[in-house]
Amino acid sequence: MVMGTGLVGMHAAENFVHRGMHVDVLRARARKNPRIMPNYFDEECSGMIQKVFESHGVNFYLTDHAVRVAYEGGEFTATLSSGKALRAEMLLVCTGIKPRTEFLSHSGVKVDEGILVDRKMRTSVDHIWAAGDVAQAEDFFSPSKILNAILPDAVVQGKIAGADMSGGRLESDYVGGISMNTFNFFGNRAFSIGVNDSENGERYRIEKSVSPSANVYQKMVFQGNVLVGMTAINSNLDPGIIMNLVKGRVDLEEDCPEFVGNPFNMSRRLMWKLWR
Amino acid sequence: MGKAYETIAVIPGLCDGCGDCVTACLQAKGIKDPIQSRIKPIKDLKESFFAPTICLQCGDPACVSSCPAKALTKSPETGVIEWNKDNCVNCLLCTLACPYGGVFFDPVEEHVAKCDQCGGDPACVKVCKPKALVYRHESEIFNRVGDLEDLFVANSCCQGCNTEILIRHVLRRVGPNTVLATPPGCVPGTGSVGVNGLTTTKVPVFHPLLTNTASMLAGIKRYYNRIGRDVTMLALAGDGGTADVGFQSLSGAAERGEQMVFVCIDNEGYMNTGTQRSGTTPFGAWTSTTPVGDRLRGKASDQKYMPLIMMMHRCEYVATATVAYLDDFYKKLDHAIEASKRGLAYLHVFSPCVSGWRFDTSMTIEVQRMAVESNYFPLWEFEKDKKKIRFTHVPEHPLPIERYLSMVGKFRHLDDEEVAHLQRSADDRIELLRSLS
Repeated sequence: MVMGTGLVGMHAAENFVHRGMHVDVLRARARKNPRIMPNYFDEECSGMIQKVFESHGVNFYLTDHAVRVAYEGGEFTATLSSGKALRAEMLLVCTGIKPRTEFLSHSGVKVDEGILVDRKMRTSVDHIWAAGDVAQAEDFFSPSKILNAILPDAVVQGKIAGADMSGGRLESDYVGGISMNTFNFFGNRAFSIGVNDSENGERYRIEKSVSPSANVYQKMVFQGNVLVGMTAINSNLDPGIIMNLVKGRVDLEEDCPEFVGNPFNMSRRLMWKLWR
Repeated sequence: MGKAYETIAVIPGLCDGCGDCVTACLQAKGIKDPIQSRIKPIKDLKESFFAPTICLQCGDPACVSSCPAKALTKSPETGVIEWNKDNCVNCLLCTLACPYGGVFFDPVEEHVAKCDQCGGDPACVKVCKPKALVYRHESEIFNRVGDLEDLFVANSCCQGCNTEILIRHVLRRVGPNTVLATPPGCVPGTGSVGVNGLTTTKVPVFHPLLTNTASMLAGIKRYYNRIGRDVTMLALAGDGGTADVGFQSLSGAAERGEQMVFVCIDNEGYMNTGTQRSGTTPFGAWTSTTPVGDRLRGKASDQKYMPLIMMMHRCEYVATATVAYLDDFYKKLDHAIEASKRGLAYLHVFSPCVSGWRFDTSMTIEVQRMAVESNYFPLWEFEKDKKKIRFTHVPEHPLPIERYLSMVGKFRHLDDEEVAHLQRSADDRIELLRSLS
């Protein structure tokens, strides 16, 4: 029984399947959008991923959520909001990550969801920096500060903090956290970069190509002619090149239609163009 | 000093999209589907643009630092970023971290794949007919000279100064068994002959007059010969101290075959004393004594071409060089030092000046590269016994001289006719040199 429908939960579920176990996936709390990995994928894309899991025998309980878990006689029993009870010999709780900041409570270091930092990774106290999963830094798309717990971003933050500590300067300060991840499941692969929101149709223009039979999905999100997000399943695109286009707020201008039609070659062409 | 590595360089302008590199890669790696190729040409675009993407074996690789499983590491011996299948957890974060598409998912093998430079003998380079892929071996020179002792320290050069790079490399190669002469100009201006009671060079150094550098070195060399000590005589002189004020003593020393290495650091004017014109200032160039205004438009006459003048002295060795082609530069230094045991060796080094020529400090090397690639400053050498000159770097596709001129502020005012004049001078010169080769 896996509680939590994020990336870690899904990874765990797949590995349990590979070990020949029967897996139930349930939610830990109520959500407006009952889908798996809602932070990274929209409903259609999540649905395609979910189908792959279901074809390997994984059961999902997404419309309700667990309200109580008991352990008795070597067995876990989860009671769902609908009243249904699920039993399992093993329970894995993967309900997200949260920085432990209690030890800073009297230090003067300002803390919200994580340790608040500026674009140089400086905390509110002089000579103390924070970077990585604990740091709550600028968001790329909004004025607020967010936790963006992902390794490539932690590397960038760490370099900025290190450079600033030693009195150096990198090419730029932290440009802001962009949601990103890669996901490899049952021989399929997916990635998600930046905005994946289909609902906010007024602000964004969506270019989508889907082939359910081949399990291929590709969605680009534009603001004007600037790419602000992309999600894909089984696409040959280079996530890193796409990431740089988003991060650089590259205005594709007249190249935009060709990019939509031939993103694989066009994104590489743009990489060369932006090189120097 | 850090270690430099051999790498595959991609020159996008030369790629014609033939795809031979992909075939070679598939064969070398024993894979079948082009989607698995470690090198991928860009194709099917409206605009005709071809260039392959391939792992660049970065110095500070984002893929390596984003790998949570230590499956990617940069080899300290070869510089190649190696992928270890046993460690890989297939998270694909490297494909998200790499901004160049160098590491990618291989859907056939179901894991990431990347170029390993075929263990030092890349198959793609060998089949690239237009030479858009080049396996660069220059790292060898950086590793070799990096271990030589630095004999030029704590100097007062301008930011981005080419003379600084030049003095450093020359002294590294000639070594401590040297007497150095630096006539008035930028070289003593760096503090080589004294600053606060010390010198910035770790070899015996003296400050001759602008007029007598070569004759003073000749006298010192004859003294060392008499007492039986083999010491290298080195002059680091500007173009004024070589081609103008310093010419008579140099010409005399060359005629007599005095044993020395005479390096002319040609920054095309008196850059140390306020950017005045010299005999090597090119036509049209702005200097403080050839201003640009209503009446004058920079220098009215052509530059004198000192290397050929020295060749006609039948020196033991004459060569033109720049530090932008360091491999070539060091080979010529080797030849010059060897030749100076028999007579005079003359090195004419093109040395753009950041403050006097007006270009950005980061462009020092690029300016030199463009000068060579446009045939404005051809690289060649002359050995007395071979009786003719030999080109050491021939640009395969010479650039129009405008590419070079547009990078340098002292040419900013030139109109089409003036640019055409300089193009003609460069064409004439290369033709003359070819007739001597």
